[in-house]
Amino acid sequence: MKAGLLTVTQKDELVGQEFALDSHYNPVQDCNDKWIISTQEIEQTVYPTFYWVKSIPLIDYCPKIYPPINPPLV
Amino acid sequence: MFHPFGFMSTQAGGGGGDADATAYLSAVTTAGGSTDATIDGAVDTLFTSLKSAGVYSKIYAFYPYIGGTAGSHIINANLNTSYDQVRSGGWTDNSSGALPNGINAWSDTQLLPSSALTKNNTALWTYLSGSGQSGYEADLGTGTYNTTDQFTALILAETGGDQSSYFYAYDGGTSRISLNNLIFTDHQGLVGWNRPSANVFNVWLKGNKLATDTNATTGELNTTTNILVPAPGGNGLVYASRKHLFDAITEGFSDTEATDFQTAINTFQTTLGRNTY
Repeated sequence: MKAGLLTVTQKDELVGQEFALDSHYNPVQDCNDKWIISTQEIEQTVYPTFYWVKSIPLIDYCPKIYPPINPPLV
Repeated sequence: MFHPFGFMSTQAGGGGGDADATAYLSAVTTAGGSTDATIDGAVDTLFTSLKSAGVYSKIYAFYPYIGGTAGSHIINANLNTSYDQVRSGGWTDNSSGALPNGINAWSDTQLLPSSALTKNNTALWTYLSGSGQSGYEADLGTGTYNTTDQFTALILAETGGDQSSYFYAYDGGTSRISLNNLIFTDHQGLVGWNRPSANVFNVWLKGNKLATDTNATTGELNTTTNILVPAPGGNGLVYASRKHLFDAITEGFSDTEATDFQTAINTFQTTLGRNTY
């Protein structure tokens, strides 16, 4: 699975912005703390302001590992 | 309980189908979705079945995921647009449902439990297919569980953790039911919980009641988070990757109402050829 690699500046530019009507970018960090967005967000971007995401490099997606937890409790 | 659109629950004149179903189908196509005679018929039967069962007016929001596009899938089918979904991250939409990518996708129903719901008269339902991630994913709910955010979630675990499923209402301590993986082996189909009163908290799977907790509610609807389908990763959760075929937020329902509701939904999925049971 691939993901689009962002710089920190690019990440800041996308946070809170729509890539299509009622659909927002959600940059997250991968296992190497690199900022990424999904290929779906790239492919479904319809606003010209953000067409630059269609040119960002794609990298292999490596999920960030969260600390294991026991069953969620209050 | 007053629902702003409940009074619109009427049959269309002249045999043209249920008026609310027709309005929903129109909204789907306006949003870029596509339907056909099979889908139109399934939606009409769904609406009429829910009304015949007396539960349509007890639904705050429901999402049948038809039309095959993002725009059509975010629509609250009773057309209370206050609860149309707002998405984040990457989704894949087609006629089989709405698929979060397991990387960064989640969706906000904009329904805040403490404002919209009534304590001890609430239910959450979700119809899922596909595989989950390793770890815990909150396929429907707030995704939080602490003393401040007491209205929590329906949380399913896949290959990680203890592979159990957790169902919360208001407080994870006494209003929690957990089911081990031997009971809910495939993590697919229609699953949900309902709390029709202060001392009854049921878990349902594929139309059958699996468990009841009779502990009195100690928590509240307090939460700072809207109900999400699914909740984002973090706070001990992973990003979800099961496909959503139907989601609903309803009043608590009696056993009969809950059964009729689930039958209507699975009949709907069966007509569309995407049922999992």
